[in-house]
Amino acid sequence: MFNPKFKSNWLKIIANNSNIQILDDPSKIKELVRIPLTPVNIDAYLLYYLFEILYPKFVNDQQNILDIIISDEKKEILSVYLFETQKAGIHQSYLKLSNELIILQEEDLKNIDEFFNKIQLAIVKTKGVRISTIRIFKQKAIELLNQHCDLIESISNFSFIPRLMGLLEELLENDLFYIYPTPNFYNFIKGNITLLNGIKISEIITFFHNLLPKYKISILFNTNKQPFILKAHTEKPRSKGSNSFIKLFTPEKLGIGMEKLDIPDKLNIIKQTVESDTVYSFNQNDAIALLLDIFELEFPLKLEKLQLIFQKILYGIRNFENKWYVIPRPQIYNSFFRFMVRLFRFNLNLKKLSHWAIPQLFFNSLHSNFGLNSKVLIITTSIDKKNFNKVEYIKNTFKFAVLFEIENRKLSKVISIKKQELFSEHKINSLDVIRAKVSEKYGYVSAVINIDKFLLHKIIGNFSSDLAKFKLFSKFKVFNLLKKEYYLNMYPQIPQFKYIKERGMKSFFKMVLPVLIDKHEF
Amino acid sequence: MEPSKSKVTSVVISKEASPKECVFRGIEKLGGITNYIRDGDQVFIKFNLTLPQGFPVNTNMDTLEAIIDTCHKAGAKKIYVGSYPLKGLTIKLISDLIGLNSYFLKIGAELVFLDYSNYYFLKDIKKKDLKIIKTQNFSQINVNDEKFEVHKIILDSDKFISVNQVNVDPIFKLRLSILNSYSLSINKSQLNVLKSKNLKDLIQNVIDVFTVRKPDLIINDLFYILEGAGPYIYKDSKLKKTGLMVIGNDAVAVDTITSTLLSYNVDQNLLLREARNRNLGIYDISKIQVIGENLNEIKINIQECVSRLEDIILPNFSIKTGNISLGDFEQAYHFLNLLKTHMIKDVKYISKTSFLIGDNPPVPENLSNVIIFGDSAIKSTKLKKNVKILKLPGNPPNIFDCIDLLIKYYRKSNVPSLYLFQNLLKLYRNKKINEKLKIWGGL
Repeated sequence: MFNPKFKSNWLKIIANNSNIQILDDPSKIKELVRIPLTPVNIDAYLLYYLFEILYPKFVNDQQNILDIIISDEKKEILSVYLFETQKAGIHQSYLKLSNELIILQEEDLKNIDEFFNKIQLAIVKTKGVRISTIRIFKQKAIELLNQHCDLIESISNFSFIPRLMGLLEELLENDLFYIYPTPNFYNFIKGNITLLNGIKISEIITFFHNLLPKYKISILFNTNKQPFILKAHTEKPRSKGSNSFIKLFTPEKLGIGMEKLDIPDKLNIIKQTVESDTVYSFNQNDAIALLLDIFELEFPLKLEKLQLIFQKILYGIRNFENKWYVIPRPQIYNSFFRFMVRLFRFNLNLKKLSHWAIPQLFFNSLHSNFGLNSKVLIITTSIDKKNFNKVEYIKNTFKFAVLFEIENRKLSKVISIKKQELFSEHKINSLDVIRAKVSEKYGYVSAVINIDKFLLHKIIGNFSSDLAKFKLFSKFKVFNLLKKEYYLNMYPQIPQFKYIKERGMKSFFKMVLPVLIDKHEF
Repeated sequence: MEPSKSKVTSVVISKEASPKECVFRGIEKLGGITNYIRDGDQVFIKFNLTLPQGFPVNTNMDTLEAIIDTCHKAGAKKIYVGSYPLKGLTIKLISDLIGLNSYFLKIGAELVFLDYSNYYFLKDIKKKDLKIIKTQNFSQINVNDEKFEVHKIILDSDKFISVNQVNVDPIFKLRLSILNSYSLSINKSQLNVLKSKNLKDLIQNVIDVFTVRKPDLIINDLFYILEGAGPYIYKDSKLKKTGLMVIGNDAVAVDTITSTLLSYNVDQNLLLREARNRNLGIYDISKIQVIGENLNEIKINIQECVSRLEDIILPNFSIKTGNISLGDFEQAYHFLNLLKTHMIKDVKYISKTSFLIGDNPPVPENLSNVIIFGDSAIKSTKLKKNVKILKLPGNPPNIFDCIDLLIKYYRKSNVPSLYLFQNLLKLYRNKKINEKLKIWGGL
């Protein structure tokens, strides 16, 4: 029933988990295992540790799990596996139970809480243990998991992330997998699937990943108990295809002693050892807390809640060398350099980033300009020398379009708009013509924004390079690109946009900077 | 259709899944659009157009589109849409900022630049030309010894439809269709009324404008209601979705039913009371035949605007009020809400401020910064000579001027958010256009 590669790896994980439980110094285990459903090989102990810290926070903090495989028609139980766990989430042994343990009825999955109670009674009666979670897989889910695992070892690059996300989407979208009690991350993904109306999360991840410039980074997830390092490198220029890979290891595995060193020294050693250009350090608990906040979001997405998450991220960013570190130390944090930049009347002190005012400014502008109910259409283009045409540049270079629908300060829908819904045959497709066309089908569209991939690529590339060298003049070059209509345009033009177009981004940036940066510590 | 003469009128409470459906089904229940619009009719639709903001400051465009579509289906020859915006703003400015003109043309209607602001940008147009245009296109209507200038398109149209987005309002509690009519015309007495402390004069004035041309078909759109702070979008503004619209051919009856739906005592609605006294429509619920949803089964409670300025909570601001004129109250309400929305950061930078308004406001405890709002407060407030005072003159003061003075007083480095807001406003506060507005007169 199970893919042999998946099964052998899973059994190896269980065996190692069981050993780790009884060892005095489990970190000395040298065995390598694969993170389930990914091609990433890591130390068995590190995987044990990740389950130990993540499972109770994200899934369930109680012991014992029951996996049930059922027929696609929801009429028959095909297999039942009991995982007894001494620690929540640490799968260390399993027991195949009789399929007759309980009779499945079609409506059981509609009242999954009652079904859970019935199973609980049966397990207590037959095995004398209480379970905390049930995971139900339809047979089709197992087939998809098996297909996913077939090629998993040969996928050694970044593409496993969108692939895995695609699998999760398919399982949840088609109700092939259930879990009870339902964890927040499950609801979060389900909520996203509904919100995105057919737009695949995996495609979004790939789109943004492709915008990134070549990178060689490592991240130290720091804690006193067990720090670990994530290494993510791209090896070829991105134009020649994605060739990124991800590795996870403990500092001990790299021979790095973490005691008695302060964080910048640790990062320097990691940088040399793993040959990354940039090494970050984040606190494990901070990263987990942020993810938990994100998974708690409810759908339709309240913009007020998004504002809070935005605030927390900005608060984290302003706490450089307190909550996070990066090596090489960005020039922008150098006092002399900041002084020089200030001579150009840019007061860019990121340690005083106004984490509370920036989200308010952004969301206030959104509501004031577009209203409390609005639809905003974003069109992306990809201009190159061959397809550029001054009159019909949007139609000729169209990549994709997305309509964001906001209802009473909540993001209620995100709809992918097809090319034929956007363009009229016998008209010049300016943004106002496009707005009228889309409004016919989807209701009044407040604004249409057109942005080119090249500009996005430049912006992301420029700002990610800031982390090492801050180049004021290269920033000005990007600012100049914003003035070009075919890279960025909007209809109707809101005041902020009009200001940027008429007086330039430099002038706008100078004006908005005192709002973005605090004068005092509050 | 002469609703005031008939003894019974019908009002539809329409509830559907979308605003467009609400319009279509609602008009159908009222007997169909052909009862109102005839083949070849010229139709003028009065909608809400106050500020260059999105919904619900202005009418829901989906509602408006549904009505335009319905009129076309009934054979309307020409459909005009229009309204006057807030004082100091031009229709051209709002149309450009939210892309209205081209949008209306595409859905088969024409936006009327009632203020002729589409001419202001023409280089060769002169004061004399504007005056000629004005004389040719406006009629003067006398109501209760007041002269109202009304565009001939409104008066000459065969049918007049009022489409009103229901929002909370600081003076009248709710913006209902009779109040929507107030921005149908311009007149100098509107300004004088706001200077007085007498709400009765304002009510009189609103009703006078309403009688200039009573609508043939009225839609109170409460599919979404703006509550908390309104009728514009502020920090405390929220939408309440009801999925309802109230439609009829008697504005008084439609407003009466709308007020009842929103749990308001109709007798306490000052505009409706005045309309009743002047016998301008049917106000007696027993004489209104309600079609569609059951009025007794729906009770909607909404959060009103604050009725006291002291209730607008602004950090570091202490608000002291004396005897306030309507204009001062309304402007201060909007000014303080504007600061609350756009000055989030600044209020933490500035030290404690006392905000005085009205005749003889109480002496503030805190005298480190004192803002005196409006001529009457400036005249009647006597403080020690060494107190730092910012005077915001005017009866009532102009909000844009107040922002300029506030930035000058606190210095731009202390009010960065307001400075940003001011600079964005400057893009549209064109001196030349303001001069033209003055030439045009009354705006």
